[in-house]
Amino acid sequence: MDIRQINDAAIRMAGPDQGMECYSVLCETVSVYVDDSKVSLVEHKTEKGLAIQVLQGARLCAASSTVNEERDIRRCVDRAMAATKLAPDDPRVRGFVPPRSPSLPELNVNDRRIHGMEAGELASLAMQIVEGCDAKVPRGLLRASRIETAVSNTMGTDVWSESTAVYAHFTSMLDDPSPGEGTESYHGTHLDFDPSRLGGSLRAKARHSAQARNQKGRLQGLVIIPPSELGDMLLSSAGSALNGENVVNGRSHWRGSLGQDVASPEVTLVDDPRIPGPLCSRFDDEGTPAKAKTLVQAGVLQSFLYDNYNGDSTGNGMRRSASDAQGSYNHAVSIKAMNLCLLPGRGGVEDLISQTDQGILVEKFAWPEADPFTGRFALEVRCGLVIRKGEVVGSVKNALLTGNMFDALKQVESIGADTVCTGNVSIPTVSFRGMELVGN
Amino acid sequence: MEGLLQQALKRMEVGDIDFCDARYQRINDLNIRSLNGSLREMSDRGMAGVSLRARCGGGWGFASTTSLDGDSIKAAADKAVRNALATGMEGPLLEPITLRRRSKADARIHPHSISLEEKVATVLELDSAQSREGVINRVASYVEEIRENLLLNSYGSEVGWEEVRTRLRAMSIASDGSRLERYYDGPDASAGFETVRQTDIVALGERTAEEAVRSLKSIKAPSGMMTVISDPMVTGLLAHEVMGHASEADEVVKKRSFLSNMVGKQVGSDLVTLVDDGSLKGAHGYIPFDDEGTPSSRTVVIEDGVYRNFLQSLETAAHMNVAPTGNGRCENFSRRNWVRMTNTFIEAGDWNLEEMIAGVEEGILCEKMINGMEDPVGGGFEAKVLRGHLIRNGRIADMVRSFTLTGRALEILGTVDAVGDDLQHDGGYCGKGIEDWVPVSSGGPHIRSRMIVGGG
Repeated sequence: MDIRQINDAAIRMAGPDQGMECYSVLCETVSVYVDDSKVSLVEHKTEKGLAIQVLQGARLCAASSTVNEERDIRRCVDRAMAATKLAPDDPRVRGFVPPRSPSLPELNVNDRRIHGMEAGELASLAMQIVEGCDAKVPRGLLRASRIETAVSNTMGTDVWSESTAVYAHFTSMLDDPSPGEGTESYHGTHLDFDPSRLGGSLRAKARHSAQARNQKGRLQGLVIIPPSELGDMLLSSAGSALNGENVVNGRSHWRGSLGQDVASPEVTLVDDPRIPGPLCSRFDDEGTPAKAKTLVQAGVLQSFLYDNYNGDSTGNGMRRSASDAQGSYNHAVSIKAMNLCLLPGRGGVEDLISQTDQGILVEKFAWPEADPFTGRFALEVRCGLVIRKGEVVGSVKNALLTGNMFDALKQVESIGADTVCTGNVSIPTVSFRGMELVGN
Repeated sequence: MEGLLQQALKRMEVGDIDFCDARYQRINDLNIRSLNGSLREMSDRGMAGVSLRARCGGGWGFASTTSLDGDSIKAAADKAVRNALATGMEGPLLEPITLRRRSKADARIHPHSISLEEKVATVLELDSAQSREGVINRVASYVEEIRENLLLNSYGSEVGWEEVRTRLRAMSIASDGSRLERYYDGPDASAGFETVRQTDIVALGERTAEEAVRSLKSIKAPSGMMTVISDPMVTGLLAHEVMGHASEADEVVKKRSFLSNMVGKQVGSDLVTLVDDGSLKGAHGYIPFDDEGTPSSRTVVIEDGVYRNFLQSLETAAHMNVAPTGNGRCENFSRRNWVRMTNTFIEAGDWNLEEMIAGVEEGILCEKMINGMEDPVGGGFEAKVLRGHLIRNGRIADMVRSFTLTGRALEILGTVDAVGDDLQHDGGYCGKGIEDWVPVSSGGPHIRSRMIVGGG
């Protein structure tokens, strides 16, 4: 049974008078794991799943299931319908998305090379990364997925799409008494990354980590944050403030700020599915056509992101995850940018370094995130490059970088042009004023 | 299903394959979540599938499928074998314990015996109990998870078991018009609906709301090295994130752990004893068997400050020539098996909290965690704390808003000078890197040590 047939079967089983939305997915994944610089595990995974939402009056409930056989669809439908009888009326519930034509032309998000891929080819790419590193690679994962999704509902919406997703995450370390660890990731839709460049970056980061010394005291100056670390910081702060559910519930930091300055004039944020990323698609996971949206223009807040529950949908009701195609049928719809892009400025990271009199480039945080509601952060710097008079003069570790992302967006010094896709964010390196590095 | 798994095993027992296992798993979750009185999520999730592992030399081949017919499972078995042969790795032979056992979950009130009506009513009652001036978002959630497992391996093991977990949470977000603060609370356990029945729902909701509103008065935390009293949650983070992850023997085998050469050495104050115990019934990380069919066990990692033992899967135990400890776990049937923690905690001492506070001239008392991140390579510690209280001259002073703790794990453990008598376990899900989430708990008592504090 293909996934469109799964949706058809679910709607048929529910009966003619039942409001229903179905999201089905087929996912074929090949993964290669590297342990201690060797391929230690090779995987093939096939998964088919169904998520449904049932609407009775103003009552909405959901169920999901892997689909092993037809009776799984029946069970899923029965569970959702039984639950709906118990749900209280929800005044915010609206009908499902009516059928609409796509706003965007076909997107370049499907790499035919990944279809039916054998593990050997992926293992060979993984080993090219390892060989390019020339340092120990304690851990690595390279994963490629082919994904088919189908969204149908009783309003007549019926959309199908096919895409591919690639995710890589590797670490590196030197054979040193106090080695530290470098990391490199890749998010994309195609197997078009340069393994030797990833390997070279891993080697450099392993060296910087091993050379890093404990930060003593405080360090003032510019803070340069590359895409690998800034992506999650931006998503956890601005991404949360742009989320329509947070706006509706009064917890968005930018609620009531439409038309006002929320960032430096250099900052323009758009959600642009036309720039390929793992979540980009012509329709969101509720069947609403996706489109490019300007969210912050030259520092001024222009709009928010919505799904079909929280407002007039902007095509951002998503179940899928940017780093892992598996299990999306088990995720409730939530508001996500398809590809949150910070428009680039000029120059590469070398230019930002050369323009910095005193500061630090954070190569690795323990976990880069800010508080979603307040924007506050205090992040452990596991490796930072110290900059003096435009040059890197050493590296530090064991320090905390403290600040507030919403304030930081108003204190942008420079934006680079080295845009990298990090999940559902595409972002260049940025330097900020107003943050503080605290050591022991 | 048993017959299909047997057939898959036979199909994988070919040529150079020296070990294989076949596993069926069905997971059912019920998630009910409300927001400001509306049921924002009521989803009943099911997933079932088969995973097949084959080992050749030191390399693993893995395949999983959600199609449970004989042909699909045979095709997956062939892929697992092909993938194992493709790795070309060398490694020791595994020595699994051969077992034939079936067990049901230790749930006094099985969630299946409770009506959906009662579960929905519980969530809405918890939501309503958070109504209070200043609270702008009331969130209440109930989660139950039931896992049925069947595992067969080429050494003759045939193990079936059930796991049941329940969790109830209240979270209030408060606002005074200009700032937002939040607070959360609620029980979790490897147990049935008794987890809910034993909870005073109204009191839980009211307390959570009240604490969220109180947090609006918190001030920014100071930054710098200071005396810190971690509460059981934050103590658990220290146990779990730094010492726990670095004690996972796969990190040791590949020398990615800063604890690789520490067995028998003093790694902390002699007040510190750290344990991982998958056999701790009721705790969120309780498992009768790990996902390789090894019975769970209690592993003393640090004893009176001296490092003792690593956590082992079948593979790492063979590499290190020790017995497996029942720590080979996966998120689900379609995920890789790694060495993972279960219930990880620092054992209780004999101090009470008042005594600890009285001995601090200037410091900070932590209250609840947000999250933490492991650093098995460098031995660093990072924990984000929801809020805390300054301590001045042996007394509690101002409340401080969220802050971060950091430092070197061995230096922190070396400065522990008081361990409380109030051991608690806090349930959650642990990822390795950024994925592969397994149910665990972490915990301990209040402990007093020196760390770097960063107020954001």
